[in-house]
Amino acid sequence: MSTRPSTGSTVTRVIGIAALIALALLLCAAFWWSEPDAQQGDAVRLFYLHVPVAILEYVAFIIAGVGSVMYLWKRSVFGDVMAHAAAEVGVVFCALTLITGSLWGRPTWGTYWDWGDVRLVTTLILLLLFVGYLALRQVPGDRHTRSKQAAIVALVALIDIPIINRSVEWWANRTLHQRSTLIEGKIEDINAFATFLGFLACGLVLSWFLVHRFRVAWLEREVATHGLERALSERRAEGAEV
Amino acid sequence: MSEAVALTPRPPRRGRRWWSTGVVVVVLAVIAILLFSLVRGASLFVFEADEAVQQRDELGDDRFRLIGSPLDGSIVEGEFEGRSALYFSVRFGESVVDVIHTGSDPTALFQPDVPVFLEGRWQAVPDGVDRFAEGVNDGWYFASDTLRVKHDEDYRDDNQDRISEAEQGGR
Repeated sequence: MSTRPSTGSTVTRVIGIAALIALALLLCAAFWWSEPDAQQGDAVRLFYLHVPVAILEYVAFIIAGVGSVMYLWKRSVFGDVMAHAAAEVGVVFCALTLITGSLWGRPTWGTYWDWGDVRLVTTLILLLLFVGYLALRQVPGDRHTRSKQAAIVALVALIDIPIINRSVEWWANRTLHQRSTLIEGKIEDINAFATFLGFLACGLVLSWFLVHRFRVAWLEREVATHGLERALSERRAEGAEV
Repeated sequence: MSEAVALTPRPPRRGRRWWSTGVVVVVLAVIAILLFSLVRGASLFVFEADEAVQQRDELGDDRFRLIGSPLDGSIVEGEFEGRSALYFSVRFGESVVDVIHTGSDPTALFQPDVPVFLEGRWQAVPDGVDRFAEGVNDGWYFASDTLRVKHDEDYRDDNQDRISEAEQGGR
């Protein structure tokens, strides 16, 4: 019996199925079970996706930061690979945050984008910092030097997260973004339940992506390492023929 | 035997190196532009209505952002200089500012007591402009061409009133 190479396992399959179920429940809660908002009407339904994706984007980048510290402190290969995987997933979630936020902004604020809004611009900067991080990881050269530089970039980029998160409080009257809803408990009943489902579904999706991407990145590293050993063997063979 | 082995590294693949370096450079450049835009955006000063009234002389003809909430009963549709316009008055703190907005139509959230961000400048009220319905009518108005509505952080069901009534035994 042949087995196909896969990064899947029983755990990832359980996570994947749970994520699909949670996403289906989220759709039901967002579009059928919950009521339109008294002020925003149906536009509020984007809240159940936008806010969980935004918070989980921070989680992914913080995992990347933890992995980076592990690498800088202990030269942990596990930490380095985890940081790379989490940064990639974080970039996807960050892009989703900006897209869903823009779609929400048009019917509520009256614009897809506002350059004067600190949260919007600092979130875009966070996205670009981590796109730069991913590009840096592709620059050829010594692996340790590249991983060390990338880890430093990740930790510098993390400084942006508290600025993004607290900007709506620091510039409360001067920014279009509303103040914190979840911390202040300004959402209740079925809307709160739909938000909970959003966190559950997006959290499971994030976990599924993260585990798979980590395993792919680990395999890439293994291939690179063994590829180097193979190249050295070939060179030795070339030298022996001379 | 080890002397015969050439372990010098092969030349790197130039295309890949330049592509990656190019992305890093472009990302850094875009971040620099964004930071510049943010600083420049912040230079379009934001004033709450009471601050804008206090600093009217200093502001002169400068363009700035005004924040306030439309007064109930003040919103009137009309025309201004041949274009459709919204006449209303906003309050922040103790001050009221009369506004003529001639930009694109606001979203459905535009209503009394929901804060708005307006972009424009102070202008003297020209002859022939009707007095503002609930305004301060002090001879000045804010000429707005951009209107953004800021919704609050409270989320309430559309039928919350009915739920409350039901909990109290109905009417």
